[in-house]
Amino acid sequence: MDAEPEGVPKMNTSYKTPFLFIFAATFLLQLILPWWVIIPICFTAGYLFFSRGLSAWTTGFLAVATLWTLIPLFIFMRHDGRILVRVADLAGIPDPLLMWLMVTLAGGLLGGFSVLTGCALRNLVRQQPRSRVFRR
Amino acid sequence: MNKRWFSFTASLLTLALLTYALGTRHGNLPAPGPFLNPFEGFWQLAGEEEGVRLVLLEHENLSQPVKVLFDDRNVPHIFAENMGDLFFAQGYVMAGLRLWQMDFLVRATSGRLAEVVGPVALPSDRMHRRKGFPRGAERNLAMVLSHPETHLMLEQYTAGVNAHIAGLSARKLPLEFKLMGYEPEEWTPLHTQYILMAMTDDLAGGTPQAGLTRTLALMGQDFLDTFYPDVPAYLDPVIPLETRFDFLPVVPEPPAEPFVPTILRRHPGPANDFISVNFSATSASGKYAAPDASVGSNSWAVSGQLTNSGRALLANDPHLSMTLPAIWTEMQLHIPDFNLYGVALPGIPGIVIGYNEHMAWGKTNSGADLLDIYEMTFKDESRSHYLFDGEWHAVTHRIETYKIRGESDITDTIRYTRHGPIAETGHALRWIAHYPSNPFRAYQGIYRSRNLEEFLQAIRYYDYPPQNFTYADTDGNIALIHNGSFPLRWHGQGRLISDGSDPAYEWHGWVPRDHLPASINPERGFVSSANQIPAGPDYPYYLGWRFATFERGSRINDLLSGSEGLSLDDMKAFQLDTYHYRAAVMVPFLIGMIDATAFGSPEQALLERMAGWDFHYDADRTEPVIFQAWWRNLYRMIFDDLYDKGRVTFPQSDQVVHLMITRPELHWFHRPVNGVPMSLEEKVRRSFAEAFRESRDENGELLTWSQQNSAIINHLARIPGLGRTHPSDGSALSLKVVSGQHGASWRMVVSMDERPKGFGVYPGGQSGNPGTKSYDAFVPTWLEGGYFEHRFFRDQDEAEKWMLNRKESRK
Repeated sequence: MDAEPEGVPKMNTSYKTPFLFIFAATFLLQLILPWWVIIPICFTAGYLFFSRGLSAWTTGFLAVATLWTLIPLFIFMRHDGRILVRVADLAGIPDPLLMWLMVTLAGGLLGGFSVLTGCALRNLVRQQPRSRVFRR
Repeated sequence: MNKRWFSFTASLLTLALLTYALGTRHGNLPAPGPFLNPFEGFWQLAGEEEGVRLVLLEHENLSQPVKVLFDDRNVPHIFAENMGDLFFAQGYVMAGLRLWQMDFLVRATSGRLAEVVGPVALPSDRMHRRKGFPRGAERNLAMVLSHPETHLMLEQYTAGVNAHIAGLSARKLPLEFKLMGYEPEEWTPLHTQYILMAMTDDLAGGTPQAGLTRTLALMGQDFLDTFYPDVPAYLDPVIPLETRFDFLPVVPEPPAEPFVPTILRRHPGPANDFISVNFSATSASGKYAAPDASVGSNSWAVSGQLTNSGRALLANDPHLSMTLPAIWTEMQLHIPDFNLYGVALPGIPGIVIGYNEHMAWGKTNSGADLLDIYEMTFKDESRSHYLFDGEWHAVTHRIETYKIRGESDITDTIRYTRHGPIAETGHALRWIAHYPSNPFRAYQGIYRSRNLEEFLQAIRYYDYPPQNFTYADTDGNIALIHNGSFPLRWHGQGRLISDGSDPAYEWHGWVPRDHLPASINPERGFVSSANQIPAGPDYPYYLGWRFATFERGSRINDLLSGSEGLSLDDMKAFQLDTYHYRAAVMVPFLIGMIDATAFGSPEQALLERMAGWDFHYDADRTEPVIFQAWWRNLYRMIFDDLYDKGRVTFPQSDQVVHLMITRPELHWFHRPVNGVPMSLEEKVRRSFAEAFRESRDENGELLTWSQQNSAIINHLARIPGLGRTHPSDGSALSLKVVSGQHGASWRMVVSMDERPKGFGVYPGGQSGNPGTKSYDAFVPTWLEGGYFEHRFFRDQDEAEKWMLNRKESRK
């Protein structure tokens, strides 16, 4: 998946822009919309910014995972970790940090695969001759 | 398919799977997406506001803004200008603290739990509907709404709860909603009635009638006459024995020929022909199984003659099941008409136990029998007509529809006779909770009471569940009234299963309010109750026979009688007293029956230790472990043939103890165990040997009491991780009741000074949110036997001043 697709112009974008795009958009839109808003945001980012699968997936994973780690950290600092301890307890998870890690992982995976899917669609669409013509 | 197609398809499929996994519930587990994500999930419940704060409520239902001060223990103090505003604010505040608990209790008691938890709750839902919870709640509601002031109270409380729900974003929904994946429903006045039904069910929802009838069939009349007296031998009633009842009683006539239930006529018959006492309506609580009536409470009031301050004191500790969130919430309610402090039940407007500026009141449960079981005579198999007073009457039907989460609806037809609903066995049930009643009318009167006369007048409107109302006031009066609606019955009516076709077995009205057992400013200088029998044999009305045994009541009376110079600290110490009266009566007798020389030296040493015991159930003692096991094994050996016989009513321990001591030769004590002939002496010896074995750990070390006894505070819906368990002293029969899930659900002591001074504690916390400190903040103090002083502000100014001073002193 991460092999350079043939015939697609190489992207000249660093990971910084898509990362910040995903990070900022998922942060803002999750304030008002449910968790699944991550999917269209990341998908769009994948389509716009990526042609290589591995970097797409990694950027999506890191952006959402970072967000889903920082927000709890913020909640921690503002209040305390009581709720995390309680939920870890009731879920039978021995260490609250493990619970936190699961949250990070869930967000990361969702971000990663959403970006990857967007990227894969781009590669699929742009392999068509017409799009190449258009591109030129 | 080329590589790019493959990449896209594989990636899309993974994403779809992941989204599905995150977006759906997995068995009992919430959907991870909404639950885990920090923007909407459980994280959002971290740190709701808990500190000292002043909240201004404004709403179209309020005549003017209402101020609520939350103090340093998250206790709300509500200051309003009128009743309507006050109860709106109380509903709003209560929902803010305990919304999930309120919603859950209603679903559970209205038989609609399966709607949110699925088919697993269906048996409980059926039980509640078949026992007539909806019917009782509807009848009560009509009564409450027919009175303008109670109508206003309930309507405004409802509006307040709904105002909170309306302002609650999905993200801030209490944790349990997120876990179980549903949302709160709109509150209605009927919901409050359901919670009242739940209280009545808990305190007056069982009966020994079916169990006793079955016991009679199994064991015969002599067994019943011996072990089930109407008035116990260890008699220390709520109303002092010397009380004179100077009224003309109106007791109905018993039928000429007593009815013999079919279960008795058929015995001995094939086992399945035997009525299963599985009276589906009453069995769910398991109230038949325990040897002794268990739900209990203590309350007493001491007049100024016995106190060091010259002021009356009142103490109350009701022992309801301990849960998190707790059953009680502490509050102050202030309007120009009254100023109240005490505890409220989530979902019910007002204060249930507490005090105002003039008087304090406490409560313990009556324990009277308020549920009768009738054997019905049906015209035919269809059970569509039943015989009553020589004529056939049609049964009425009520269709109940059950919505079940994840499954299609089912319906159930409940048939009603004039007595009440019909159970599967064909028996009908007549239950106090089906009679219309308006407790709020009584409570409003209590809140306004400025003296004893007004209080006595107010509680006449209180019907059920009947309670011992303890009273003390700033004028120095004390009183105790065994109060409520008690069916008028001939002596012994309803001891066994009744004849549903004979008018003689109907309830013949109510015991007149002026004839209720009462003790007002008695000579002994105190009143007390611990759910024991309300009055001695001179009392002319039959209220039932199975009351709590004597131990707690006698202990209170021993501690109080002859005392002087009592203080609030003494009241607290008494509430925490671990003395075990039954051990005090039994241990010397049991030791006397044993030939110690028959045992080895470790056993002998232990027996010696037992002989020197002061009968306190303290944490580090071994003696309670021994006695507990000794008595349990002995009881089991004596009534060996009653076990495994289905739901029988076991003899109460006090009568067994009494007979064992006064008539040890009685043949009932010397029956074989498992077919092996055995004398009482042998049973005492063997049960001690058994207790000796049971009382050591795997290393042979003797166990201490706190290794066996715990305070178990489960989450209300038994969600793991949200409850707490702690080793504790105390016992089921000490004044300090701690026995598994039973314990003092609220301890309160009040001194009726010119300005009443109250202290209290309960095993929980004000907030129902497990993400806050307030969720279980009081538990450590409760366990240690500590109390919090109530901030009983005189008015809003004083409250705000307190808040300002506090802020300044913290700077």
